[in-house]
Amino acid sequence: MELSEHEQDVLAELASMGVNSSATALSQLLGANVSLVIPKIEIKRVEHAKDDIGDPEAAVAAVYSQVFGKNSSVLIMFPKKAALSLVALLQKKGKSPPVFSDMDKSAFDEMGNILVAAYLSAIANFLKTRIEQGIPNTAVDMAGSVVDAAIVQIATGTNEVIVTDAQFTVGKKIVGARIYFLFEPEVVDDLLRKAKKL
Amino acid sequence: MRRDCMAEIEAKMATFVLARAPDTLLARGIGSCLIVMAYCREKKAGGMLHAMLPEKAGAHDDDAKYVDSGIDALISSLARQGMPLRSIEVKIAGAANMFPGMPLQPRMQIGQRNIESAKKKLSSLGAKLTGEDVGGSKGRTISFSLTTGKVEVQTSI
Repeated sequence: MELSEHEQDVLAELASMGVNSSATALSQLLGANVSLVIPKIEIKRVEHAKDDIGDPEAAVAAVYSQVFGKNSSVLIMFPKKAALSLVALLQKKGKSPPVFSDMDKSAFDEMGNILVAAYLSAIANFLKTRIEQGIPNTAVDMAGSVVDAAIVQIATGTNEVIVTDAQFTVGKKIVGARIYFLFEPEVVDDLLRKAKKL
Repeated sequence: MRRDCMAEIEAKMATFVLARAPDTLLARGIGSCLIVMAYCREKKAGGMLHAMLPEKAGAHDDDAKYVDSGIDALISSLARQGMPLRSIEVKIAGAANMFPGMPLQPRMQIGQRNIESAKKKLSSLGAKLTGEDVGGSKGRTISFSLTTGKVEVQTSI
């Protein structure tokens, strides 16, 4: 599937809407102002999804969820330190824990679930369509391993992925995240068709 | 040309790389992808495949993206370099299930299917599988020394 420049712009716009909505959800969740900068949105082939990941062994915490009841999914990935500081903010703890306790892990699960849901519902609302979200799952491990596991779940049916870099600023803390939106070609067709009608 | 200085060469996703001693081949941060390493002890050379998916379906895709066609490509490249299959030992690593809590249909258990595809392909070729560290739910970094043929697997966290 070759996407035209216009189609790529539409998908990037949808992704940016999704991330904005996640930022709003995060702000409500933390009861704090959250500002968002999106330095980069890219559409790339799945084989290249790991190319600019930085250190593939870097520790990350990620939430992965399948969507649409089809072969599509969303992965939201934070550096482990950033995830721990979000978890501390969420639990109103002054200091970030050094590692994930069971409690922290379930807080992160919950937060990830809400961020993914916000991401998807913004896109669904804009397109006036329904998007069903699967049960989210978290992993704390090496960045490369988490990303490849998410993309192979979908790479049988697709060749492209939307990669969004986001910087959430909560108080004085800047928390970087990377969001992968993976989809089957039919889902893209559907999104583009609906976007065109609006 | 003689090189005394060891290089670490990374096998990127959906590619394979050939090298010889004193180099080391590397695959960092591997989840459900499968790493296939072939070694010719006599020549102290070999290759590493970094495959994503079990079976190649369409003719247009890269061979190295898939376990089955990737193994074929790796083995035949080595043969062209004077390392026939009978001189080769094969090891496999990776193919974890990074999201074990996720209820997945067997068709979507890609890590597991990658392992099965590799074993099927290797046995149909008559290749010697001499070692494996596969499955589980942890990411791996895999290094493969062409000097010794030794494979080291690290997990984190």
